[in-house]
Amino acid sequence: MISPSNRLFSGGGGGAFDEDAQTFITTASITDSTQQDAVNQLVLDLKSYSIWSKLEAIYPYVGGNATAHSYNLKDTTQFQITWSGGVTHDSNGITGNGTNGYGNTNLVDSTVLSNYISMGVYSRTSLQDVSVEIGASGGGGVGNFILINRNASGMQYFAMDSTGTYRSVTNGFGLSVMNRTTSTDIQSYKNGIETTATKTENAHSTKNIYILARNNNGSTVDFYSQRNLAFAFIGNSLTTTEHANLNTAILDFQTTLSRNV
Amino acid sequence: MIAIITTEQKDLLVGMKYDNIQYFNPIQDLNGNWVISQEEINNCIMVECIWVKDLTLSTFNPPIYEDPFI
Repeated sequence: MISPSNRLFSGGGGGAFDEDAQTFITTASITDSTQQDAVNQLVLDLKSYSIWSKLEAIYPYVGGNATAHSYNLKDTTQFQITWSGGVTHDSNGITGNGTNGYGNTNLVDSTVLSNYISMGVYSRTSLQDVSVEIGASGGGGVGNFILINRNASGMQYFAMDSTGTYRSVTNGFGLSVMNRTTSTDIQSYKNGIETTATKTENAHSTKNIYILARNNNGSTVDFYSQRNLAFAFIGNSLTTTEHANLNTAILDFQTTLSRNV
Repeated sequence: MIAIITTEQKDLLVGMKYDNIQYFNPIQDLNGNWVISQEEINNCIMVECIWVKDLTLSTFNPPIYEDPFI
């Protein structure tokens, strides 16, 4: 039996698309058949892995323009990104200018997520700098954000805390994710590979989560990124297996679009 | 690259879209000058802001952030 969320609809190429994939394809005006197929397979994979229902925002950055890149694949009527400043949009996704470009997801995790958070980005750029790829913080730096290749110490991530945690990385390419599973246990995932740490929960951020910069307590935007991102997501906490499967699904998606790194 | 604008020009651009979907985001440089980016200028298609294409480009002097992440 096919559940309502898995119903298939005819695609432009004579195939059949998942209903949610079709809604995104139509809303974002995705006309390229390879891109359509990639989006459809991504949705099917996320549903088959039982990840789909745990994510609140999925930004596949497909379509090559600011409008298409603004839509949330999970629900095109929610958390549409508002772009500001200099962000370049092309077939490889979004690229910040490191000066003033960012996107406002209009998602506040304290009001959306039912439990702990998981959040990540797929980067096609590897460089060391102090820039935030996704996140928001409140007063005193408490919040959720990721610096995917901050310095020689590697990736730094904040998961509902104010001091952050480092993990060693060899480069900034691929999928960088932070996750919290309990009031004390946090994890990072680099291309699906987990590291764990202990960090006491402070609070959910009460500010909109930004892409390619940090929302600093709703008053300023800072730490603009110059990286090329080809995917971003925000959702509830995932298990180790789910993160491995998510990495597989995203890598397959990027490979289909010939933009995997 | 960026272009320096006046405070009055900044006030005009705040809240304005430069290409039907993306908003201008004037920020201040190290010396307190308001600036917009080359990308905003190059992609501006709106009549209301077409004057930005006459601005002179220069190198950006970024503000120095206190690093709160150490």
